[in-house]
Order: sequence, then C-alpha cells, then structure tokens
Amino acid sequence: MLHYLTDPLQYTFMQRALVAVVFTGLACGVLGSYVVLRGLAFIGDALTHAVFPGVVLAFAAGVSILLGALAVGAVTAAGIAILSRGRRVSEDTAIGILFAAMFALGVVLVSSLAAYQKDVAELLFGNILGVSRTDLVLAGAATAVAVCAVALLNKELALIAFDREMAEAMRYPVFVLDLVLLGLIALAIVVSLRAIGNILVLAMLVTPAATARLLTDRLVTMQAVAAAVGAASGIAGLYISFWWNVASGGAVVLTATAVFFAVFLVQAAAGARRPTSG
Amino acid sequence: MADAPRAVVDELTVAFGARRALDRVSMELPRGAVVGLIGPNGAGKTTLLRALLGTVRPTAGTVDVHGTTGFLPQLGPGGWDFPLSAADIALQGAYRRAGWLRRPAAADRDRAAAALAAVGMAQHARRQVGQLSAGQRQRVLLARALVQEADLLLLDEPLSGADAPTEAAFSGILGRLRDEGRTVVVSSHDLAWASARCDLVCLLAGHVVAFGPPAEALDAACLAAAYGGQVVDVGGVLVLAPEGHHAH
Repeated sequence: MLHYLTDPLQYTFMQRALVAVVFTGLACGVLGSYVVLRGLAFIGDALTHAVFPGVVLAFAAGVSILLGALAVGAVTAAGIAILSRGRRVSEDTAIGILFAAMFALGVVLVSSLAAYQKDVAELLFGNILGVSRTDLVLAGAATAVAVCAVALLNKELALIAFDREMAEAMRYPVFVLDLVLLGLIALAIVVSLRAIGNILVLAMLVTPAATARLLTDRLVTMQAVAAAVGAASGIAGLYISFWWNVASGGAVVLTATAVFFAVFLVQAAAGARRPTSG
Repeated sequence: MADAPRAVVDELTVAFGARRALDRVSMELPRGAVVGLIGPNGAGKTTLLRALLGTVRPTAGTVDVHGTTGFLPQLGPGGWDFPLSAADIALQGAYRRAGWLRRPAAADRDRAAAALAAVGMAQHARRQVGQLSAGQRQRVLLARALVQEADLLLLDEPLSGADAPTEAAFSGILGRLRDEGRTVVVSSHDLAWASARCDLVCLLAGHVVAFGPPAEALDAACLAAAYGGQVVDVGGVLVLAPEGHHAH
C-alpha cells in the first residue's frame, strides 16, 4: 500500500509539485478566507484573468511566468482600486472593464506570438511537470510574504471586512488596506499558477475557505483550517493525478470540492438530527 | 479650560455634488452632556456625525473637537455572519491604542470584558455575533464604542429596533458617561426617548431648526418646522413624521 505514496516521490517533478501545491494551499487558504468573507469571488476571478498577459509575456521572454503575473497583478490591483474611487464607476464596473481587458490583451498577445499557441493550454490550466526551481523559490517567497502580511495585519483587515464604516471612523487608511488585500490575493494567485493554472485558481481561493467557514466560527481558526484543507487537497489531488494520469489542477480542485461537499453533507445531516439547533 | 466646549461646529456646510446635506450648521457641544440629534430622514444627521468624526470634509465652515472620538455606526445587514465573537468585536475599540502589528494588551481585554458586562452581554461574550438578537448586537457595538474610551462618543441611531433591555442598557450607560464628563451625541427618530433622556436636543433638517433643552427644542412649532406637519418633502423625498409624538 505504502508504495502508492512513496513511489511518486522518487521523481523530482513530483517532489517539486508537492511543495508547490502546499504553498498554494497555504497562500490561498489564508487569503481565500477574506475572499469568502468579503464576497470577493468576482474580484478574485477577475484578478486571475488579469494576470494572464503577464504570464504570456513572461513565457515569451523566457523568464518565470510567476514574475510576469506578479508585475501585472500588482498593476491591475492598483488600477481597480483607483478606478473604483470615483463615484461614477462602481467597483464591479471597474473590475469588469479592467480585468476583462487584461485577459483580452493576453489573448491578443498569444495570437500574435504564433509559436506559443500550443502552450496556451499549459498557461491556462497549469503544468505540474513544469515547476522549475526558480518557480518554487518565487512561490515560496510569495507565500511567506502573503501569510506574514495577513498575520501582521489581520486585526485591521478583519475590522474593515466586518465594519468598514467603523474602520473609517477610527481613521484607518481603508483604501490603502484594500489595495494591500488585493495585492496579497494577487500574490496567492501567482503562487498557484504553475500547479493549478490560471482558470482554476479561483477554486483554491474560495473552496477551502468555504469549507473552513462551515467548520468554525473563529476567524483565525478559519484561516488555519482553510490552509490545511487547501494543502491537503493539493497533496491528495496530486497523487490522484499521478496514479490516474489526469490533469493535476483539475484533480486538486475536484478533491477540494469533494471535501467541501463531504463537510457540507455531514453538517446538514447533523443539523437534521438536531432540529432545535441554531 | 474645564468648561471649554467639547466640540464647536461653526457655519458647517457639507455638499455632495449639488445637494447640500448640511447648510451652515453651528452649535457648541458642552462637556458632560447627552445630546440628541433629531430630524427626518435625509436631515443630515449621519453627515453631521461624520463631520464630527472627521471622515466627511466640510465644504465650508469648521469643526473643532477637543479630545478623542468614538463611534457606533449603523451597521447594515449582511456583516453579522462574520466569524468573530462578541468579545472580539468589543476589543476592536482598542485597536488604535494597540497600534499597528500588535495585539491588544491584557488591560484592553479587561476593558472589553468590562464593557460587555456593563451592557449586560458578559454571558454572551464568546458567542459568534450572528447568533445574537438585533438588540444584543447593538449592545455589543455600544460595548465596542465604550472600549474606545473617547471624550466624544457619536452613536448613529443605536436604538432603532432596540428591545427593552437594550434601551435600558443604553440609558444607564449614557448617564454614566455624562457623569464622567464625556459628551455623547445620539442620532434618533424617537422623539419621546430624546425628550426623556437627553440633556440637549439638536433638531436638524439640513440646517439647525432648534438647539437646546428638549422642552424648548422639541416644541410643536419647531417640530412642524423640521418635519413640516405630517408629511414633508426633504430633498424630493416624502417623509412621514412619526405620529403621536407631537404632544411631547
């Protein structure tokens, strides 16, 4: 039995992939808690699309796609915050305009770089075989920055998420902290690009955090549980991907989704047995 | 300077685009007083509170506050499923004292626990706020405002939808704050409550209609001027004045 777990570990690509999905689980779990609690799934989705031109350009230039995604992610996160400051452009509208345009730019770039069109699938859906040492170092650094930043700013970020007007009344720089949060979400997306791919990152931001919310009423516990669920889903999904020979990103996301529904159904059944609860 | 006013508002005008929310509002808020802010919807009550907080910039005029400010916002629905306990939320009032990158000190945790006890919520301190009733949530927000230990406390409609224990908790605490020399401004639609509990009342309708002890500020002529009888047109919106309170 044990060889199912140990055999894949003799491959370097699998070792790197496992480390990469653990980083993904940690960063996405911690930041995803805010995505879920603040209802930022749309922004998260848009951010994943927005980093696409950066990914394409970095790929074409032969540098780590994480670097390209990081640069473009930071610029668009700032753009959305600045656009939505005006009273006539709502945040939703600003996201719709800016992030869809960024994805379109990525599509145009890909179509003009004919040699890379066969690589589009890899860029969109991730390629676990392609995790380089540089990617791993960058992903590790980005994860460390994201997790440390949330740990240091958690009380302020939570206050803004819970009661924005109070945060303003207490003279916190709410706009700057919103920017920081968007930037950190972009970081979590960048961490996940290689293992999960552009299209499916959103699931890693939302699903483990939603699972964690079902299990706890404490913010910090929720963040820790979301990170653990994300990392565990990543590891389990990778093994499934290895032994069944299916796409790693899809396997990881479906594992996380299965965990969510398992928890949801167990709780629903427990709730049905205790009709007076609540 | 013990008798210097807590806050001075001088010819304050706040405009949002073409709409004037406040028009040349002037008043002095003394120390050790509970001030009711009364007026129809759209009268500028929230805008005046925000100007006192400093989160709304005056278009013209000045606002001078001597001391620190605390706040109880009108929290819209939807935020209450947040995974924080009543104790967590009360402690938020101490965040500025704690500073950036730091957790609140043990003394502030004690203050939060004491504030929850003062509003009768000690036994619910560890409950997630979504499990509390509307009145209990208001009391948690009052506890958070108390933890701010502010000289000027601004409460935005804290009693809308409040149950009897909540109203009792508020009334007791407002009296205590006044005795400590703090100034509390409470915006409200409830004329009966204001006339019973406030030392001063500001009747607002975009401008100051009346300011003074409740018996003077809430007389029939002033109320008619603020609310325009039963139905008034405020900024194009028809507002129903609360019936049955005019006799107060």
